[in-house]
Amino acid sequence: MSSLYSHSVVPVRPDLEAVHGTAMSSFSDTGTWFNGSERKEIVALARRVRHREGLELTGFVDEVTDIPLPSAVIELIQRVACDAEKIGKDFYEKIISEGLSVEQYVEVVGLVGRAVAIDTFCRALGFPMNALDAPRPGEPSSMRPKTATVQHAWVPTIPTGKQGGTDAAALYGDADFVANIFSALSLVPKEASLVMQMGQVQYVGADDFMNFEFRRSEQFSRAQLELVAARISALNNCFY
Amino acid sequence: MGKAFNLGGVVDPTIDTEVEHGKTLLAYADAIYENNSIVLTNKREQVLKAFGPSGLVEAAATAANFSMLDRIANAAGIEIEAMAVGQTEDFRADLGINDYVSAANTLGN
Repeated sequence: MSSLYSHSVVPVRPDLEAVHGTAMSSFSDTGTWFNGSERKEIVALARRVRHREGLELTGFVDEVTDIPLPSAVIELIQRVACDAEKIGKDFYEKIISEGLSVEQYVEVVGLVGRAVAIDTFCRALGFPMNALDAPRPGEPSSMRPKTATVQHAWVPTIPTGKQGGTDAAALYGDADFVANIFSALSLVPKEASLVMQMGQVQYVGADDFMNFEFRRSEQFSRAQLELVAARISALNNCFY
Repeated sequence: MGKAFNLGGVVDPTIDTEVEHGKTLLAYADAIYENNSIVLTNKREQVLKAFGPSGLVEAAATAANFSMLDRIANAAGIEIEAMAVGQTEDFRADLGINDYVSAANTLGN
């Protein structure tokens, strides 16, 4: 795997670099409901709209290729990338009524959310944006988890434990409890899995979540970490 | 029992969070979201000075993580966990969090 942050003057943890490398690669891979070209285009469009908002200026390259995407997808990309705080249930229902499947909605949200994370990391450290890979061939699997049902979100999610059966075992392992944020995209398990991987490495792993002495850097305490998390969530107007 | 911090400083810059170098971190978080690369460079340097290279990377990774999770939470319409609703009740109104659009997913308002 190529080194994403070899140019950095500050040392980036290998696990962080690896999980970002996996995510960057995934953007051009065949997905569950979109092919590699469409997924790459979704990420490229998200970057374009954020660039137009004045963000991620370092080394911006517009990689949009104008392959056709439904208008509902484009509207969803714009909203998640730039105005996610304004998304209400009415917007969700409107997008679905325009013909986007809930599964496609979830995959787009995951792609844009993960792309924004990596671009935010690069912007925060003054790194140039990572280039997208060429799309890889393949047809979407269109595999929907049979156990997914509406529980704690607008979108269906895989329940934990016996109710989630093999779907839950495959995604959550033997965990009896999974935070709603990590099951949010479980209708598309590949997206949910990648979000969980990034969350564990960028923030705090599940095993250390209740360890308030946890720190990855001697100079950066859990309280300081949580302060950044809280301020970013306030800037995003995120109740969760 | 750990040290208590003042969460009010997260939404009101006039309030001291009582977290060491808290103002430096808040200013860095704000600069990541603003359109001014000169300010961002300046705030990044301040974080680097206060926390060293590894601390700077952790701050950036945290900002990245919540830029992702907040979008997913808002777009998927998730509720906060039942156990957290009561635990956060005492400060949500004070901080204005109950007024966020996404509050409706949990509070039904």
